[in-house]
Amino acid sequence: MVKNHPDIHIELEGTPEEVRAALMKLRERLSEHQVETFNAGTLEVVLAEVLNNVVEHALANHSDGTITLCANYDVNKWCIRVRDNGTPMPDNQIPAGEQPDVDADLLDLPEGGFGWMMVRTLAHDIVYARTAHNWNELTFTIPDTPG
Amino acid sequence: MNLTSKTEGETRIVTVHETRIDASVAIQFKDRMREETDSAEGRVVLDLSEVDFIDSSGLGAIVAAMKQLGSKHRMDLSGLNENVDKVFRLTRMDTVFKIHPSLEVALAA
Repeated sequence: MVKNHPDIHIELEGTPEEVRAALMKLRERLSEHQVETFNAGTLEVVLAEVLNNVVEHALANHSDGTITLCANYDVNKWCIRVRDNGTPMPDNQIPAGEQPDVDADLLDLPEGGFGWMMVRTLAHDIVYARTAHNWNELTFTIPDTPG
Repeated sequence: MNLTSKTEGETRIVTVHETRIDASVAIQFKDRMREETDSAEGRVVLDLSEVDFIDSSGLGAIVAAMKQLGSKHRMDLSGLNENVDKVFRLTRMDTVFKIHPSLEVALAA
């Protein structure tokens, strides 16, 4: 569970530059709590994809886009909650995230479509919902052992 | 986006002097790669040893950089740190590129 007063709480606007700044802030916070840096690399990879997706899709064409990121360490895993005031996911569900075809010829190699595949591979307990105030809410956990 | 390049024999070595290749710089990275590899005559080695984070947009930009070289030139990678390597393995892009542990190894190959 994400606690009421999570260890990490970062609020950002919906731009790629803000995502970069938020992830760098996250790294800084993690290094302040040395014992809690387990699997921090995986946490950063997953959060980057989740936040980039929010910026590119949910908050596309929104000038007042806001994202909140809450995370805390809980025994053997990270618990994360990301909320944004953007457009709902298509069909109210997160994409399947299938592996793009990397066996294609050079010019047909995929340059995108990896985001949800990485999230679904690395994150556990992924739940998407719309909140009572019409925000998107994605919660998930990251185990503290690299897998 | 700070990239530099030099030529050793027939190999063009491009070094990324940035710690992150992410969505905020992906397009810039692709454009800078074109400038640094336009006159390459043989193989290109992209040295990522200073990079400690890439996301899927950064990965896409590296693939795009290889595609814009065309089929004449191969592009190898060197010096992937743990987090960067993880993204290549997860997406199976490690099967597309030849990945060398260091620039020295890449040049000897």
